Amino acid sequence: MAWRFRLASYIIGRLLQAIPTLLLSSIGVFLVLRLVPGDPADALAGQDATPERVAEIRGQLGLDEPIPVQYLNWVSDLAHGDMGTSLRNGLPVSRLLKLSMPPTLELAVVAYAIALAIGIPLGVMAGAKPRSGWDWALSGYTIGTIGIPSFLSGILLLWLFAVILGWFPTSGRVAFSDDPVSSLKHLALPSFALGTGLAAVLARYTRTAVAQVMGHDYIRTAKAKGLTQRVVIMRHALRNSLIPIITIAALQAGGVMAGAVVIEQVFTRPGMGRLVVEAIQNRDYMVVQSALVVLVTIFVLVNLAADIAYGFLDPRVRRR
Amino acid sequence: MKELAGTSLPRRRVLGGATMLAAGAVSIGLVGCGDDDSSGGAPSSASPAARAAETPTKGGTLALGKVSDINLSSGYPFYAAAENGYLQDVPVESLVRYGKSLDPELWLVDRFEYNADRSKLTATIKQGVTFHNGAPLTPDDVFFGVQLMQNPAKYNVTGTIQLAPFAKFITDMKKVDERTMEFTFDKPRPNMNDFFAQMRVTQASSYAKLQKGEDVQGTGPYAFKTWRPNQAFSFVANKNWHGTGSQGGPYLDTIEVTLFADSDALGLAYEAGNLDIIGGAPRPTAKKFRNLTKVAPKGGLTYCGINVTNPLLKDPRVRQALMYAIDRKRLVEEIGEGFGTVTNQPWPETSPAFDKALDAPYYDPVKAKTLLQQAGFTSLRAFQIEHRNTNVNEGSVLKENFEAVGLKIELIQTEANAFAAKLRAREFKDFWITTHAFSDLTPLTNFQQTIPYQVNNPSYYQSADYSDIQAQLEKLDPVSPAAKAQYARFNKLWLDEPWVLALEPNSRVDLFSTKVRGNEEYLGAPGSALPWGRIWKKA
Repeated sequence: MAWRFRLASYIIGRLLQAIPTLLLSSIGVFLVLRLVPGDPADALAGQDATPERVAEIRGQLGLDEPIPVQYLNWVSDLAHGDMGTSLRNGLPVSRLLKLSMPPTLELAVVAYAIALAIGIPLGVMAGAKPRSGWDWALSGYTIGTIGIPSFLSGILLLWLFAVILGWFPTSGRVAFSDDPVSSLKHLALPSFALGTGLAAVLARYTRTAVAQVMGHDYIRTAKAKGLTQRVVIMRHALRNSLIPIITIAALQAGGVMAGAVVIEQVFTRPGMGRLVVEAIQNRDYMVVQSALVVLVTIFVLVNLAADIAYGFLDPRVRRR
Repeated sequence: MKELAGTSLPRRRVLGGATMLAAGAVSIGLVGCGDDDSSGGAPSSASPAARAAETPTKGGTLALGKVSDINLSSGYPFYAAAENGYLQDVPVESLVRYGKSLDPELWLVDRFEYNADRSKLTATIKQGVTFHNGAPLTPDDVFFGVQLMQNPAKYNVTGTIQLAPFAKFITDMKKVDERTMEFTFDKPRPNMNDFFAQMRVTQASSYAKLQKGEDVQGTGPYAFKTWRPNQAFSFVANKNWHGTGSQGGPYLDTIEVTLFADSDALGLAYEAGNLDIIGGAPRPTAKKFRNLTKVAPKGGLTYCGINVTNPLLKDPRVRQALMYAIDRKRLVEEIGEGFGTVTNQPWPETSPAFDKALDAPYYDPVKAKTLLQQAGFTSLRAFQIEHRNTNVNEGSVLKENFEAVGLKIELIQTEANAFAAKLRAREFKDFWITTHAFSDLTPLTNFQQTIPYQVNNPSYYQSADYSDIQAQLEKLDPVSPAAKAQYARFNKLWLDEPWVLALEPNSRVDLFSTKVRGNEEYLGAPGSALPWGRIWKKA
């Protein structure tokens, strides 16, 4: 009971700590956007506009208010659950995010699952058996994948499997609830392109963590007790090397979202990455600001989950 | 390898694995290589005679692709934003429209009469023309469009409507009866056909919903159905279309437009057989499927603007020299992939200002150098050519051409919004490259509506002759011999003291699948839209 109470207070404390993080990131996003040349009025006005018309549009959008006032208005609305309307097309930002989050989350989850499914087993086997065939395979795999940017591997996969062979669609997204088979077909290539790159990084760290642990006395003891290789690795080595693996996996949540931005462009998936890229091009401040706050929130929550997972894995953390 | 015994990989297995990997990489490379001019597996299109003999098939879905998402809040349908391409022509229409000439065809109206001095217009809406929701088209709906263009801020419109100056020429609008309306202009205006041919009509009462994409009403052959922002939008057939008798359609059940991240993705989707039409296809994709393309009539130019107040560029002989320095044939054949014709004028063949002699390369570097010498041109500093990312190749060719005649050139790529802001503010120092449209309308409209020709143009070009030409044209019938004499004066100015240098024609290249029919002829200016009411898809 005591540790559950400590866990709950730990979670609440971390959530409260996240508030200044979110505030600082919101200020950062807000200011950086306004440093970029041109504003939404410029983007909307078009090249035919007179300076007077541009000024009129700026007034219509509330961009003629002082910057601190614009920020306070936005944050105050956000605190009340109102993300505002897109400066470009007048649609509620919440609606745009609601439409674009599922494709990105689908891609991130499936890519992450691929990364874990490839990276951890490969890393474990390479770490447990250094300089073996598994280690060679890991080296070859990481050289092949880390060296190729995900957008390039995406384009190659698209070309071969979608255009030449016609096995997969070239673009788009189908909701899983509408047609599960088609949904998975649309997800296959982009998630593979994204996940295989992440798997390489995960595999390297897993290999290092497992190789370090394999040299410890308790592993030697376990082997001396006659336990099978499989039990030694799964019950002792892997569990004790999970802390750094979870750390890197949590950090990769950021990599997944960043990679999703690129992959969504290549495969024309209508996700948050595409939404943010186009919003930046159109100087759609409201969409960019709100989308980035959402992404930062996701990142903070994933890292919080990682911290909580430490507690379950390592009793020493629970006792602190 | 001895130290690896027991846990090591034998060398044979390593070499075998590496060989297989290399073979796989080579295979992928070979698969990826292909003849640039291959048709990607698509069969050739049927001959024109065979196509003419076919009977249109009703039904089916037409799949279109485009890159940027639509925007309904910036003044659509009165603002012809580039991003609203299909949306401007499929669900909405104008009172009159152009065909092969600038003689307007009555479309939503069956009466369209000016008074003797063209200071008033009376128009009567055709009987039975309705919006997609069944409501009749009324004069109030037409007036609404004009009012919005006169005061866009009142309707929360955030775009800049090119037709706004024209709308301000209209000083009074009167509803004569349920279908007849009368417009009064500030003075006799000979080119108001262009205004009414460009102005699309939508339902006044549903405009607030249109701006949110909830209820887009028009009179066109297809009705706006759904919109998933950043993903796709679609149209459904208008079974009560007023044009069915003359056009035969709409033949299709639905038209679905998918949005792509970029033109490469668009091209790949076409090659994979997922698209029927790409309006404005990327040139590399169009080149691969040349026999399935159609080039729309020229609507304007890609051009190089010159700041004539720059002391080094003030002398008309210097600007003439630069005109002769440009290899237009290379621009059309290499950059344009052979689509479009070599031209040194903004006018298409349908324009009363068209001069066949100006559809020529005008490329003479020797003459260019001679002119520069005669003008005493010397320059030790590099000239800047600013351009967007879409004109990188034109910039490179222009740099080569200008440097060949003795100029030093610095290319500056400017982000699109920043470029538009500089164009509006007339802040280019030396040269810039961009594109204009609207020269397929009457020449006077082009001078009034198109940035490089307007009174306050980014080149700061002014001349008594040019002002006089415009003043004269404001009093003349656009196709009269007197007007043609003024066009000839303009064309002479164009060559003698250029402030805009033609590079390539602004011609859209449309790419079709082998199943598309009914696309034999384009509609007229502006923009040469596809005839959606006649298009059908072979089963």
